[in-house]
Amino acid sequence: MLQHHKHRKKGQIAALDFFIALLIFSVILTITMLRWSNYYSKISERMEYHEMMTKAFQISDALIKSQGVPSNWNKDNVRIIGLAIEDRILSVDKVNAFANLSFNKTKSIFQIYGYKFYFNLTKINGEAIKEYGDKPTGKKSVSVKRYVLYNNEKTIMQFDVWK
Amino acid sequence: MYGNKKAFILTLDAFLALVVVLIALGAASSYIARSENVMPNIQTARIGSDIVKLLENTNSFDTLDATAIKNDIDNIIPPNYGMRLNISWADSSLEKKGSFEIGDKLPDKKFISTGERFFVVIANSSLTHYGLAKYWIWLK
Repeated sequence: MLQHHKHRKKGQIAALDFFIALLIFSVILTITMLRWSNYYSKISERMEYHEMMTKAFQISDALIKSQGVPSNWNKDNVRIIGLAIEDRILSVDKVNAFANLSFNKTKSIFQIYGYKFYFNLTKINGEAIKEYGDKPTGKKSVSVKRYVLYNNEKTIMQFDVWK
Repeated sequence: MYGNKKAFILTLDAFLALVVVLIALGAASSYIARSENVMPNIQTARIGSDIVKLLENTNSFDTLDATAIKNDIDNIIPPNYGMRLNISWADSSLEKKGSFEIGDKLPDKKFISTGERFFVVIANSSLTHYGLAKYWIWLK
């Protein structure tokens, strides 16, 4: 009888011990999972932001510094879009030709899959000159502003990448 | 006796694993909190380079006049940026030299992008001066 009582008490203590251990384990596991999920979403967001900014910088650099390929490109033979006559001096004809290209064609040349873009030329005083693409309406967008000479006027070229 | 020893080793093992996990989480947390976003710095560098190139393209440097160049910068630069420019020049014979510095005071604890651009001044189809424009630009 005494032996039976002793075994029962020992079993109760072991069960309590197990439940405390399980509780501690569950708390630690939950904290770890929450933290991990938090880090993962932060890192993913940052990587996406970096990718969008890199695209915006690369495309804006190509637009304002290069003449494109071929250098006298038109809508039928364009392989790389460049709007410059010289470094950071834009050609009026090329800007017009660019604005008349189909959106799908420019996206394919810029290789920005999964994103949309918006191009805008504005005089320093804020007067609009030319715009092309879709204005950002999504949750994520980055914007790059470049200072160029267009038609002998100081102009800001804005290039947005968004989704 | 053997059972107690085994339980102790398992507990110690679990404790050590917990310490390792906490250290890894702490390190990741610290890295994410400290890692700096460099993209605004790249934008700052691009704006500095664009502004100096624009001054060259609009022949602003040809004046070699501190007030005129300062006015041109003030007309272009976005209000949230500060900029300082050092222009040094020599005439075509390299005998007469000069320099001047314009713009805002350099900040102490901010990212400053710097660069330089060589230029020439041409008047009446002949080269009159060689010049060097050094610039510093930062987000205010």
